[in-house]
Amino acid sequence: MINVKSLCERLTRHVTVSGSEENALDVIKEIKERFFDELICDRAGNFILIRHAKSENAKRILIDAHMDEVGFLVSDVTDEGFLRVINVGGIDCKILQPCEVTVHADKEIYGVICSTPPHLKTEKKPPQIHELYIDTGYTKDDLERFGVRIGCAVSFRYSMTELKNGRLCGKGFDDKICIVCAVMAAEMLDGCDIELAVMLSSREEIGKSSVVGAYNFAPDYAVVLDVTGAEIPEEKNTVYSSSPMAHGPEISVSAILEKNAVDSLISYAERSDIPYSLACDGANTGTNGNDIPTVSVGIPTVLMSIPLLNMHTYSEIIDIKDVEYTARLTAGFIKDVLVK
Amino acid sequence: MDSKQLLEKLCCAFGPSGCESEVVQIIKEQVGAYADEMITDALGNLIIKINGKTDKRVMICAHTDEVGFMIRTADDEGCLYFHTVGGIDLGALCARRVTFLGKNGEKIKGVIDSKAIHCQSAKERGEYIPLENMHVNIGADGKQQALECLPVGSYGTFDSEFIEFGNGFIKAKALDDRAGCCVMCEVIKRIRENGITPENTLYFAFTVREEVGRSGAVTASERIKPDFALILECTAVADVPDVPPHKQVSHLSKGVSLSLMDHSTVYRKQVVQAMMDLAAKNGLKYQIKTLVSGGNDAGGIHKASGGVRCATLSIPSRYIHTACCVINMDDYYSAVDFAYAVALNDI
Repeated sequence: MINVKSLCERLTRHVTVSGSEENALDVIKEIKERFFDELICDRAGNFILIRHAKSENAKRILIDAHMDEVGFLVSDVTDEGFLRVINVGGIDCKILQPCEVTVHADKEIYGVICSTPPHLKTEKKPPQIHELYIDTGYTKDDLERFGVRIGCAVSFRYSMTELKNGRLCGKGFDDKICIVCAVMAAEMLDGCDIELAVMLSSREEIGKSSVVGAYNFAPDYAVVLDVTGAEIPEEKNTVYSSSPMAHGPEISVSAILEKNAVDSLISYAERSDIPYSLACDGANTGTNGNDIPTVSVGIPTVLMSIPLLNMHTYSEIIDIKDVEYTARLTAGFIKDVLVK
Repeated sequence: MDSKQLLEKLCCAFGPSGCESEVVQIIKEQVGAYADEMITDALGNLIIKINGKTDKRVMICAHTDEVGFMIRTADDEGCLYFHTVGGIDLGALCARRVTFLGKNGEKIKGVIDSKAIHCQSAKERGEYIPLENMHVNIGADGKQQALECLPVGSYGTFDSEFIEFGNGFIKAKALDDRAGCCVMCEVIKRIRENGITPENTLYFAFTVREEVGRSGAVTASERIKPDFALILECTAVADVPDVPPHKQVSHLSKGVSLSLMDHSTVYRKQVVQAMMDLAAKNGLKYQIKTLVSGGNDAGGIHKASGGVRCATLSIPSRYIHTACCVINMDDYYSAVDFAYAVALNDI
């Protein structure tokens, strides 16, 4: 059995700001050795783990979870040795002044994000990204020597920690917790005669590379796993979907997802007694679930999301029970519904 | 234990204003044995006396407390709402990791929740969340469990590692003013290790509650009735990009900073001059704090026990009152040298 905490910790420790997903290659290779027959890295940077079917006509199933995380890129080095950055993916500047980061150059460099101190600001407003700098404690010359240049990736530097009731807090759970889920589901599907691909897709936060992987694998069905905002008091009754924590995955009902597949996922969850909640996503799920259905001749797709608090911060929180529920629902749905 | 190790131990200790005993205990273990007399007063101040050749009393002080949090209530979802203890900017709170002291003395980890950027309206993106709406998440399942773990009144601090980085920089929580406490410990050790009996009788006061009104410093000076007091502090500087030079209070790596005036005190001209003369005579590295900002224990001490001549030396610090205070070790060492010289000379 997979140890959720330890795999999640290892995946999130590797920094994979969109575009540098190959940083986690070591862990991906280990996963491949344990559970899969083949690892493909396609031209768009997606990693596709494949476990071959026994029979030739077996159904082809794709489980998608994205590998990238939000972060920054260095956009300038000032004469005083401070770094300017731009964000990669949506980041709330309210969490940045100050916060701890790692600059990925020839070596990893510690830094603290800073801007004009609050007591010198006339307006009490959150800073904008162009008003922020990274303080590395080095001079410009030092930084040059360490290979810090425009375009270097910058990531949040916060480790995973455990809260009460099996909740985990860390960075990059969006969407590495779903990679853990997908691998768990693959383990549960051991012995099931399907051509199974788990796609660790790239660049979800900034665009959609998943279509390339989906095109090449050409599955009969796709299951997209992502995260969703968990309910907190001030997020209730907004237009954005949010779901309670520890009550199972959120199943997305959306005009762009395959209705028959979604309906049968819901009824499968009901009869197998796996808790879930529903989200009405209209015509936009905000995930790879938007793009995969229309790839090639069309791929019937469902989307499940794990409730997560503080999304896109270095303190994302998930409940381990939701990971287990989601993995069980994914595996069971594939085995007992999709390939039946 | 070298300077950095002791500084790390002090910064990582839990000690928001009114809850400083963990910090005081470390200091007692470090330097208690060097004291000719040691007092812990009613408020929790620790005073270490070193006898001098004369009865002239010099007080050297630094505060043991740090800014932090206090639980005020919880809601049905188990979100814990809090007051800040001491001044913390709203921008330093969202998504930060925190540690609270449970009712059985255990440390409980938590996070100050932060609404996902996708779910914020344009208006919400442009403003800070008001303090009364912020809440700590410890993973509790409902109100009852939340308050069982952390009853109303439970104390918290930022959760932040001690890190060395760049060219001699340190990042930690609570450097304001554990750095000052650490300087005092080193001065006490240096006096004893050098076998020196100072001219003046020295009272090293590790004060409480500086961040919430300086009551500790006032009661300590009422007891000591010093002829002169040296306050060791951390001061916020602004030596970062986009701040014009005339608004930068002091600079990191340019030595400890001597105050002329701040929001709580105007230092007597003769005292400031005597400090400068002492520095010149002993070749001490220092800079002048060039902008009136902040306040410190001197604000209470100079008015206590019939009036006390005061001087303040501050270690320049970036991002003060946050989880990531930053100082430079060179400035720290220059503070130790300067404080040591003050301890052994008349001001």
